[in-house]
Amino acid sequence: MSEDTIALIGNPNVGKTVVFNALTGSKGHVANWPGVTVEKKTGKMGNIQITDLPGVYSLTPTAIDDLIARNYILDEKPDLIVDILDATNLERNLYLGLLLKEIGVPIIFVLNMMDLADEKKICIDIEGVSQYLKAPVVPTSAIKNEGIDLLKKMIRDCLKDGLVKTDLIEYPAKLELQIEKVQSYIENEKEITKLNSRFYAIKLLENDAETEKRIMPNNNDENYSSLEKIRGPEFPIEFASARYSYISEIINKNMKKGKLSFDSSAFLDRFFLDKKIGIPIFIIIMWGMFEFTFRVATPFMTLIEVVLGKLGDAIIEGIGESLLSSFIVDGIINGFGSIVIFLPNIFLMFLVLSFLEDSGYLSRAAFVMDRLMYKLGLHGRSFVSMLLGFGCNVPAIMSTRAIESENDRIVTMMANQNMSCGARLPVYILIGGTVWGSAAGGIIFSLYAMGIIIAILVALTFRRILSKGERSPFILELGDYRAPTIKSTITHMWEKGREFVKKAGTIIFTVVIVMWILQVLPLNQADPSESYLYQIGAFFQPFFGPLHFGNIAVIGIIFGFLAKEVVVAAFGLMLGVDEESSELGPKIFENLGNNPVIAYSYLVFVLLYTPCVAVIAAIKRESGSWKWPIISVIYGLLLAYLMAFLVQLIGGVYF
Amino acid sequence: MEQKKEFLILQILAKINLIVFGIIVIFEILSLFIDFPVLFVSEGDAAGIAEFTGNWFDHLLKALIGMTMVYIFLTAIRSFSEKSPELDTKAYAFAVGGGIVVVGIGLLYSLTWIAQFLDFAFSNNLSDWIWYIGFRLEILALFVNIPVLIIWKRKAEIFADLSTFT
Repeated sequence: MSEDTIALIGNPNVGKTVVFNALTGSKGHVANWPGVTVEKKTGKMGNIQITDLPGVYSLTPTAIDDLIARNYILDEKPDLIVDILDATNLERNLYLGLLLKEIGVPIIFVLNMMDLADEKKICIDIEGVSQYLKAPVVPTSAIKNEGIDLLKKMIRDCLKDGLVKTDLIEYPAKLELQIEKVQSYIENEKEITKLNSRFYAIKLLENDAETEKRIMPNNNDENYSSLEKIRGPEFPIEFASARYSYISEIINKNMKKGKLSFDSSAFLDRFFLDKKIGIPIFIIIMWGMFEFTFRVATPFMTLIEVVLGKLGDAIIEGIGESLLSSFIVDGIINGFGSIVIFLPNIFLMFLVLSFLEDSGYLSRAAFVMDRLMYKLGLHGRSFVSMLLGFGCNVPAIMSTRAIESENDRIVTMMANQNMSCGARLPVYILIGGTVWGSAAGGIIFSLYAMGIIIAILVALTFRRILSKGERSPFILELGDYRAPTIKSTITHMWEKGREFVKKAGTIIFTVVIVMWILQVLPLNQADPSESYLYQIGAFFQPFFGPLHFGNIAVIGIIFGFLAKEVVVAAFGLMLGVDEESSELGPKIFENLGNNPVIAYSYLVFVLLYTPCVAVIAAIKRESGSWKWPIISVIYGLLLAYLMAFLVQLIGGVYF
Repeated sequence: MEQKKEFLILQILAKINLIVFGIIVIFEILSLFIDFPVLFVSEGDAAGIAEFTGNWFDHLLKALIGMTMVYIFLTAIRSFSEKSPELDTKAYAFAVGGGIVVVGIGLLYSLTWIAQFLDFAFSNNLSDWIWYIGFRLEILALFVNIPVLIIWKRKAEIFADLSTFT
């Protein structure tokens, strides 16, 4: 027996992923801002396959994620569609619902966020809405797991008994007449079925280019000529207005708002989105995040450092000085362990990011920055992707799918690599802590701020080169502020941190072991400078000569191309993180010319030079060519070199 | 509009916050001169220069943050006296929003204190902790601003009386 398939669809930020997780028991990433789902995800509810589609506003594809959602419904033909509606924003959400009804597939509507609707004193007559939509409507508060059992039962019943009606909603007679005519023109086309002909007829009347390509690729036949005769520029407006009239009727008859419905989010937005202080507040919050990350993690780092030091001592004491003990102590404990020490920082940063995401603040941050981005001629969505880059640049690159214009997507991808990802944080903390001590929080913040400024400048430059045309529109859903629960914040922190741990246990561990092998070869070295690893550094040293970076710093940069955390491992491996770790700081400082300006320029170089291999692969995948990854590597190297040089020039290193 | 008790508390707290952050700004600006690197560190002392530069930058950031907070509470207090419904909403939004940010900053310093306590404990150096941490007015401000959170959490509906939110 073939398994049933259902598709979850809805506007961005209506809680589709929460419903998906509740139905399937998955742990997909959820956040209180739009654009979390950038590709379709699948999961199982018993023997039913459920697909979570990206959030869309309509079925007219303008961006890649719109196309993914629409094509899935039209090509995969799921047995049932579950359209998630935000109960607090029913009017806007119903537009997509009516479009889905036009397709004629079985559909269940889910009125999610009923708890928030109650808080806002919004009363909805569920039965009434159901009658108007000619489909079942299930109220839920997915985040509290309320109504999920009912939804599961409804899905099973509908699939089992085929109870879901596919009754269509009728538009005014004039439009219905034209729909019928177009249906007759296309009835013999190969993709047309009895159910979907109405949808395609409406789309053709609305001048939808994607439908035209799909249904009437030969636009010189008689049917196409007949279509051309009847369609005109007024149809998209007339259909939209017919849908909105129907929605108004649903709302007027079935929804009531309480007299004292106080919009607390709008009230707080008077402060957080204020034109004058919106950006300073964002900067203060970012500063707080890095201070927190740096300062609060200190005791945990000390603890890990003490444990690793004692472990190294015990191993040497137990098995004596040998190649095996060198592998364990130098390779694993000093090399790999030097990255493990920074796990508390990474997790604490993700804790704050998760808190900000869940509270609804991050979408506000994108909104306040959009004003600046717009003034600079950039696409507002770019900053949403850039904010995602604080965690990891790979999902940030993937999130550009939501940008409609191809040029804007490329611009955002090129700019994104300058955002400081979690992998760069250990480097900042190691060198920042070594050189600036307790004041390193401010230095780290300055690097993050520099990353944002340079990303914006890079985007501006690429936009000037690539796209002279109009910017595509930017719609950003500002969900309500919510008090994040401890459980959800910790879960989200773990989801993000787990990726780092996985990466540390696989790619980083492998690279560190390769580095250790290169360090111990050839065997029986009279001096550490004879090692292959040292020789690799020496080979590239002349290139970095003008920047005054020491050999180990150069080795870090070379291997950091594979993963940025490896920069830290290079120092740990070559200088040791053991019982004499108190001497590590001066050694690192010495490798950076004993000069805080050179140390800062090294951090600037690490911030800006080529993205890691995973990001390069993501750029290749998303742009569909090798041209952009190559450009990204070349411009990254040149920019990093230039900025590091400028820092040293301004800092007086050359005088 | 009848002056509710909660609104009066928010007005008083905005004034206290203005004074607290005014003091912080003055202190941080003075520290900018005290920690000015070239005045106190000899040219060859790399570690000294780094430490003083770092501290100087830290004071600069904190002074700028303090100034933003002063601007926020000053805007709130000035708007309270204007008495127009539109400005009234803005004033209370700034008083509540600013209070939430102060709680965040105070929480950050409190957690830093605890983290430093643990760090000294792990390093078997607990007796030096009290001399290292210093006193931050922001922690005091955290406790002072707790009523803002309580009013916001329990009495948010009272803000519906203001201007366009009814």
